[in-house]
Amino acid sequence: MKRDDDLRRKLLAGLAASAAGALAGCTRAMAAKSAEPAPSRRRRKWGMVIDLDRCARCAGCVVACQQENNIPPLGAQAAARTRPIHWMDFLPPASGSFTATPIPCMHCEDPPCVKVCPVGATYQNPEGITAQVWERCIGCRYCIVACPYSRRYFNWSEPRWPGDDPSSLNPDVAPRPRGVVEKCTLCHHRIHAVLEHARLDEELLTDEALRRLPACAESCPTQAITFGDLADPDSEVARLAASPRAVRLLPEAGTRPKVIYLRETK
Amino acid sequence: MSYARRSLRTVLLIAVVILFVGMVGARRAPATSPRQPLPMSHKRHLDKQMKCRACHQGVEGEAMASFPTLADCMDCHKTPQGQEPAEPEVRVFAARGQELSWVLLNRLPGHVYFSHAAHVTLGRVKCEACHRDMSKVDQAPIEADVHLDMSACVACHRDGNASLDCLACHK
Repeated sequence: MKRDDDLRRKLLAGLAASAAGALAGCTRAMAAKSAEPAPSRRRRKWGMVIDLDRCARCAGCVVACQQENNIPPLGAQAAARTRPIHWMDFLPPASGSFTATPIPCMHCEDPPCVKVCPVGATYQNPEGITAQVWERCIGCRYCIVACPYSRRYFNWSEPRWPGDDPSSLNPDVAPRPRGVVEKCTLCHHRIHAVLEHARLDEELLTDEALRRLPACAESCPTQAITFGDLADPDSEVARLAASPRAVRLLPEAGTRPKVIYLRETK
Repeated sequence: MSYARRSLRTVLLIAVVILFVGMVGARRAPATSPRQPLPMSHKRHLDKQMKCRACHQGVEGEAMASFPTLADCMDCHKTPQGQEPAEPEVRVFAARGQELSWVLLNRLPGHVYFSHAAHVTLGRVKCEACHRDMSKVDQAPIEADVHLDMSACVACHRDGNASLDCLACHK
């Protein structure tokens, strides 16, 4: 009981202090914001462009994504037996003219998966990422059925690491437990890190710092993957998205993907 | 002595033994909790008007607030400071060249991202908002003092106009 009282007192004191701090911070932030150039005032809209004319189909992005996001390796035998998880994958040969196309989550502007989630475990964050909160997911898999791109995966088993040694895991990404659905986060943890460092260093986040930010884009030897803010017309990703070569997967689904492909029409 | 009485006595004896073992175990429990390498008093340091960041240097620029290294301690304790009988112990570590192995007590759940820099430097949150008042702690801490749940985090984020996006804290 005493501990509860102590905690409550501390919390109240803390809240008062942080509210005062936030008030001071707001005035400072407003002053700082008015000095910033126009693009940073706009709400960001993260997106990605994948240039299929540049892509060498090396699958480096697939491996980099597995490594970055703590996706357990299965090995060939187990992968054939069960359902392997690939946040970044290649479309199978039956995909018509999009055969062997690297495909992450499309981060749709109108995501069908979000509409069907009964517990609010998946949602679109203010910057356009279709996010999944693993702890909230009840594993009903409605979202897997709803996604027209099959970009969602269910964890049928507890994640296992080679030699049962989790020490090589990326500490910035939580491993998902058995019984939840998981998906690409556009390497949100990396976005989080550069945003925080830019704010701490009081620097503006440049487009150059973002272009190769996700693990897949960073690993791409032909620089076929470009990441950035689609709402910033001066960004590389917005410029590429406006290219006449730009195509979207399944436009008829009405999902308006924020992952855009580039390729010459044949 | 009847059989029933004997078995009753046996049962009672076993019960007393179990009770005794339990009590001894309970008394011993604090001794098995983590031991800090030095009987360091936060109170004495804060009484000297030292700031938290003087020893926990990562608190303003990093996600984790760091522990002081032996070199940090020796910045002040190269020469004796105060009359505390345990004070010379830090120089024993230095003479042996043995780094201080502080025990980390506050651990985050694996799915939570928390940055001290974001809270302390960008959000201007005081240390006492989450930690106890260390100016009253005269012993080396042996148990966690942050007992926040998500509702406490959310309440503070709401009041401070900070992000309420799940991805701001969940990883």
